[in-house]
Amino acid sequence: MTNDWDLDSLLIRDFRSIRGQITVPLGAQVVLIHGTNGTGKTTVLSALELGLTGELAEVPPKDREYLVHRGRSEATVELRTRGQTVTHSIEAATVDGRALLQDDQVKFFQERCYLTQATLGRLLEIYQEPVGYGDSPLTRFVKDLLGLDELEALIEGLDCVRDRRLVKRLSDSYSETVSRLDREREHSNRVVRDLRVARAARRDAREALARTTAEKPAPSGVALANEIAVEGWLELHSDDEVGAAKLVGQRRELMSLAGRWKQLSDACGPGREIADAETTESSARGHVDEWWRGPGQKLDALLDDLRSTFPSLASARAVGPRSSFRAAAAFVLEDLERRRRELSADDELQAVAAGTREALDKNRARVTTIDEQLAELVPPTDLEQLAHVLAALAPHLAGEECPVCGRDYSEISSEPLSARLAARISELTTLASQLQDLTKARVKAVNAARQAESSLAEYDAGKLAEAHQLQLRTELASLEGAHQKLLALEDLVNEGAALIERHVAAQTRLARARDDARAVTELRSTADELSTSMGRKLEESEPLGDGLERLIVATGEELAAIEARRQKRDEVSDGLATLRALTAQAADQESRAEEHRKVVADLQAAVGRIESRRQVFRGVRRDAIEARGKITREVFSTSLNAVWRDLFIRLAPSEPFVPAFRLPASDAEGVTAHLETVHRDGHPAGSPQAMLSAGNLNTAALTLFLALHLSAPQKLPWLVLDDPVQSMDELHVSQFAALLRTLAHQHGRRLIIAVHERQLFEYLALEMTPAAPEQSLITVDLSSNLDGDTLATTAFVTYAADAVESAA
Amino acid sequence: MSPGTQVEKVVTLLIEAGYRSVSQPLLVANVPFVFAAALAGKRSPDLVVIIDTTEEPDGHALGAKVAGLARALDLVGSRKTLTFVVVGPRPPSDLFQHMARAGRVLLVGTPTGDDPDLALQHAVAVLLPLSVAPTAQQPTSWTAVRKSLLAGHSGDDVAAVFGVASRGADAVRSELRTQLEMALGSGSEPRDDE
Repeated sequence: MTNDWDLDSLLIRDFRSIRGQITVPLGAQVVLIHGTNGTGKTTVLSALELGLTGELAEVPPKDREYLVHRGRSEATVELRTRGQTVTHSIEAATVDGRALLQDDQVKFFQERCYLTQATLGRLLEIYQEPVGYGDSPLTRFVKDLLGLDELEALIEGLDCVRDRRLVKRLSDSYSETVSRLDREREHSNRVVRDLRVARAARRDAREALARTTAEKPAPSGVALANEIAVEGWLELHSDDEVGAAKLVGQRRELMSLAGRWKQLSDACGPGREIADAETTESSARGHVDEWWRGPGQKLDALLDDLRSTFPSLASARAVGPRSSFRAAAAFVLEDLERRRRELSADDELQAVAAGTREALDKNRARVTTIDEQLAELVPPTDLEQLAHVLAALAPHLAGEECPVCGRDYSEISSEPLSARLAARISELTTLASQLQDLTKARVKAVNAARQAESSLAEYDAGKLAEAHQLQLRTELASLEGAHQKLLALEDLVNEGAALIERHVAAQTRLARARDDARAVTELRSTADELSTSMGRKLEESEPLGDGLERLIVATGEELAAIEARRQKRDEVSDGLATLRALTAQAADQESRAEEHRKVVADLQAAVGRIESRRQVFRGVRRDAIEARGKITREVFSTSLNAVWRDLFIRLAPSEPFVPAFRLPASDAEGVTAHLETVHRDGHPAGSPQAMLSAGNLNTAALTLFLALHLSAPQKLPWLVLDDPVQSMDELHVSQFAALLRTLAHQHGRRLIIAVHERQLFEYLALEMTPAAPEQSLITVDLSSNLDGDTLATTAFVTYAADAVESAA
Repeated sequence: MSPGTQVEKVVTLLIEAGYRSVSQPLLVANVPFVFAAALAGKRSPDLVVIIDTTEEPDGHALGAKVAGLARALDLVGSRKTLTFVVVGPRPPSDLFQHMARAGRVLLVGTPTGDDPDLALQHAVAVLLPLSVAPTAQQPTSWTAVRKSLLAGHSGDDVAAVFGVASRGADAVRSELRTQLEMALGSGSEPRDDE
């Protein structure tokens, strides 16, 4: 990229406040532009910015529409250099064109070369600590200056080595490995614990077995069983199942015999029992026979009697006296009841019939009466109709004249005719109704008589024949007699029944006693057999009960012994099995423990490796931070602060407080800076805002800008300043002018400065007068004509020997 | 420091800075002007006049001299700019104003304190050349820093991480992770360079 820094001129047409077209020459070391406010001096600088960078940094997008001068349709900015021309045209809010500079150069111009009014005001704030994310402009500047990007990247990138936790966050595998290590350690510990437990259990099992199989108490110092020895012991004490089973059977038999014996002997001894029972039986038999001979006979007789009436009646001997007696009584009573019922029913019927006959008679009489009454009444054809007719006559009555015969009724009676008629009508009506009533009554009576007749007919049909009735009465009498006879026998019958029962009981008892005696004999012989087979024959003299008891106990003891032996055997056998299992388990645990130990060791090694590298990287980072700190301090103190201090002192020689950047306190803070002031004697003081006057604060800002410009590795030669001396007093201005001269002539900067005060403009023009052939100056005076068009009056000032050139 | 020696010091300073001494009396438009010293800039239009207020007791006379010089310069059409370096007690403010109207006034005064030479230098600093630490020579470059850091810490993994530093912090972090995970997986420490 050719460095075409030789600017030639700037053509501006209808751009912002410039109306019409002007050309501003730029082909000198120093270009001074004068324009009162509004004539366009800022516009000229803005046009230069556009031509160089293609951007207008301080014009927000919404104001783009005001870039074209009001009333014009299009604006043009043409920047000419020695080698090329770049043009920008603006229509409405669109800017079209190519810039002279490229990206990082554009940034450099905007930040280092071009000082606008706005920037000057904000400059000190801009270089404070950053707000929010990212670096402050100062930090960026310093980093840029230092070319520390790689170092920064290294420091930031290695950030996590500070702490193991951060490394875990960085690397999932590491994090997992650490967790795995923890888990494996835990497992391993657990396995070791389990192993210990298993070993202890195994030892305990051995001890127990040893104790169990020892014939005598264990010697002091615990013996541990040997598996083979235990197996031998087991063989030695083999089971005795068969013998035990036999014994169990024998004992059961013995016990059942003993039970039976108990049952039998609870009764009062068989021999005595039989004699007793026999006596009782024969006595009971005697009583029974006696009864049959006496009351029994009577009963039989009565029953025979009754059998003629009740053929199904059983004999007393067959079913027992009580049963037969009861049966007979039942029959008799039943029959009695039946007959009584029949008879009483008939009586009732008779009573009813008598009543009905009475009613019949009454009704018949009534009918007769009514008939008589009716005969007295001579009914005309129709009483009612007559009444109606008469009633119809009523309206036709005129006075007392009879409508039938025409006579005057008053001759017959004092009563008016109409009244008489009315009375007659009423008579007739009454009569009619009377008749009606009578007729109804007659009908009723006739019906009632008829009903009574039919009832009587029924009765006749239903009444008992006399003969039958007689029979019934006869039978009734006989039955009553039988009943009385039965009642008389009742007590005797009960007595008989009781005797018979007693006899039966005695018989049963006797039979049982005989059975028992037999059973005892059998029992004895069975017991003898059994005891003989067991090899413990019972003594003859020994009571059976005791003998059996003795045998049972002995058998029980033997069984218990066998059981005890078996239990021990089982114990030993179990113990052996347990021991085997525990031994296997312990072996298993041992191998697992070993496995885990290995895994843990491996993981620890891996983690250890990471840790050691982490430490190495920690060292690297520490050193990097230190290096950065060192570099930063150097830049600040040798470069930036030194230049700023120098510039400030030049412009404000009597100000005791010099602004500076306070250096970072520790390397770890990185590249950050704070503004402060330093007294000439070296002591730090407050911030510039606190310590400096307004004028000197401006100077501080201005000199900071220049210091930054001078500190940066030079990319572009221009310094474009828009009205930089607003609040400077004359003293300062003259210092400033000298400084500008130094910058232009000693440091080869191309200055483009705009001012609005004519006096200042002329003073600067004087100060900038070329004092050597290579120095040059252009002045541009902006104004507008009557039409409003902008005019630029330019002058080129070259070196000319001065009138005063005195030799030293 | 006596005013006399101060004047000498200033003159020395300025000569070192590239000014040349002008013989007294100063002749402008054939009018002689006498001051403590006078110098002219070789590449600047400065005419530096050193005034010792102890030698100029009469403020009025001094003021007249200053004004006269300015007028004389104007008369001959000189485009030189005046700079007054005032040594000695501070002149009264009206005289000061007078001088300021005619040109730049640099008050040296009577520097006391720890470093009078430095104070003197500060007073006339604006006339002296501006030295800026040559930033073309970076105090340190990345190459140098890297070399020194790598010297202190060896290992393939360290070298690898350094190798990607130019790609940014994320690249470094990522490389670090890769290297650490390699250490995790391998059965040994990374090979040392040496």
